Order: sequence, then C-alpha cells, then structure tokens
Amino acid sequence: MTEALTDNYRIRVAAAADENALGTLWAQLMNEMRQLDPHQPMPIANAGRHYAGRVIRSLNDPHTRVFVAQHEHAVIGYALGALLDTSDLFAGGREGFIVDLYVLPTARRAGVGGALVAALREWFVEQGALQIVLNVDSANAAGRAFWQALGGSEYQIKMRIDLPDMPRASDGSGVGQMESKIP
Amino acid sequence: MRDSELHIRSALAADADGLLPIWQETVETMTRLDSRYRIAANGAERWRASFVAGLSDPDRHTALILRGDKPIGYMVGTVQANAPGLLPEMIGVIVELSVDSHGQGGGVGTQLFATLSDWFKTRGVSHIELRVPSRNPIAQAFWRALGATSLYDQLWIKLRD
Repeated sequence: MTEALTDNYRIRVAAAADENALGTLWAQLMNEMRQLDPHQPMPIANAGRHYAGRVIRSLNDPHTRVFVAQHEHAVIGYALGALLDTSDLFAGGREGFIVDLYVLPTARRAGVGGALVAALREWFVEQGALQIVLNVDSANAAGRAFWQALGGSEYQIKMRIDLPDMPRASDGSGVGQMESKIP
Repeated sequence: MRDSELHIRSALAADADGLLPIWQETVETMTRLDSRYRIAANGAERWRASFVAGLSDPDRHTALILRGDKPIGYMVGTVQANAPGLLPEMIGVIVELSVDSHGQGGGVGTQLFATLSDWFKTRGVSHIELRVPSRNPIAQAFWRALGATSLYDQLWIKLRD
C-alpha cells in the first residue's frame, strides 16, 4: 500500500521532503515522553535533526518503512517500522517492530494513529512477518489502552537498573530504543 | 574444592556443551509459560554457535557459575551504543541469564549479576537494561529485588500463523 485517502488526511510513504517535519514530530514525542516519565532520555542538542536525517537515510532500506499522515500540506503524524529477524533464536522468523508512532495532540482521536498502524501492519504482512512487537512506556496508560485495542498483549517488560557508585548521565536518563507513543 | 562450593569465572568455549542443557531448560520453561516463544528446530545448535562466537567479542562478557566442578548457570552482558542522539552514549544490556532449576533460589543469579555489574563498571556503564517475559513473575521479582524498575512494556500483536 502506498497511499490511503480518507476525508481529512492521507497516509503515504515518507519522502526526503518530510525530513524537517519528522525532526519536529520526534522532538515533540521525546518531550511528551519525558513529561510522562522523568527517567526518559534527554535528547542532545539538535537531536531531532539527527533523528530525521537518520530516518531519511533509511528510506531505501528494505527492512525499514516510514509512513506519514498528511493533512493539507502539514505532516501530522508518522510511524516508523522495522523488520527484525529472530530466526537464529526462535521459530517464526521475521517480526515487525514498531519503533516510533506519533500523532500531534491536535490531530488525535481522529483515527490517524490507527491508520498509520494499519499501513505498517499491511507492509509487515507483505514482508512475511508473523507478529508485531512494540514498546510502550510503562507510565503511559493511554498508550497501552490504544495498543491493547489494536490487539496488543503483554509480552515482555523492559527493565532498567542503575549501577551504584557510577555517575549517572547528566540528565539522569537513558534508554536504548525509541518509543511508541500514544497517537 | 568442596562439591557444594560456588565459584564464578569467565566462560570458555569448552563450557558450551555443559551449559547447553541449562539453556535448553530455560527456553523450554519460557515456551511453557508463554507459547508465543517458540524454539527454532536447530535452536540449540544456533545457541551454541552464538555462545562461542560471543566469547571473543570485547564488548560482551559471559560469567559462569559452578558448584564444585559442575556449571549451574551463566549470565551474558553486552555494552551497546544507546540510540543515536540519546544519553548516555553507552548502556549495558543483560542478554541472557540461565540457572539450572536445581540451583535456583540460592543466590546464584545474584552472584552472577554482581560479577556482571563489576564488569559493566569497568566499561564506564552507568545503567543496565534487560527484558523479562511478562508471564514470568518469578523472573520479574528476581530483577526487581536487584533494583530493576520497569521502563517499557513490550506488547505483541499476532499477524498470522
């Protein structure tokens, strides 16, 4: 699927011209995550630009797919998915991992998040994935409800341990992966 | 050395065969608790190859615990780059923990973790991340007792069989 038109927005595959918008959306995603959970990582200066550059460079990667939701000329949300191959450990082969999902607060409750997930879901199926996995902040009750309504069930808990006698990062934070966010 | 005495050392390639049944028991427990985990047909072979290859990785450490001369568990940790743009730049990750079911509950896992923690500190790591199955409350309790707190819940959506 490349495009799905609805009344107020359309879902399409991201393009290089979306770079600035993706950087801005990601920065907002990080900001909301830190409001929810102060232990979430503090992005470095210009992190949004770095992130967007990385996403744009991945547009030709066959294991990555980025969809954006566009309303008129504005990008109001995006979803980043990646194919993971875990066949070296478990039967079942490929799985789809939703790295990031974000929709502007003003565009929520209009089905945009669900439409972005549906686009990724269709792509994952086309790529032979048997399941989707994603992370949702343990403090994000609304995000959990969103994903559970889409069929998500608890699978694993990602935990963190601070080592004693070690200086913490200046922001007191750090996690290894981007996070899915309530759309 | 007395048969009941516990000691820890870095794992060697020669330990792989002795640890294989412990790995097997651990993953079978995982699949019993949650059928979404499925062991690959040649999973044991792949685990062995991965275990041995990992021993020569300078960013990976495998601690082995023995009772007398018998291996009863191991823990694998790696130092990994954090996601681009996020601090701290490097984090520790516990990749595997397996303890013989007969050896559980006697502080074996805690001793392995203490060893890995010391190694992580030598690498300048300030915090560690790990994943625990949602349907394994015993494993969750073990890690929480060591100070672990939840960061994310990982959810799973079935696409097809």
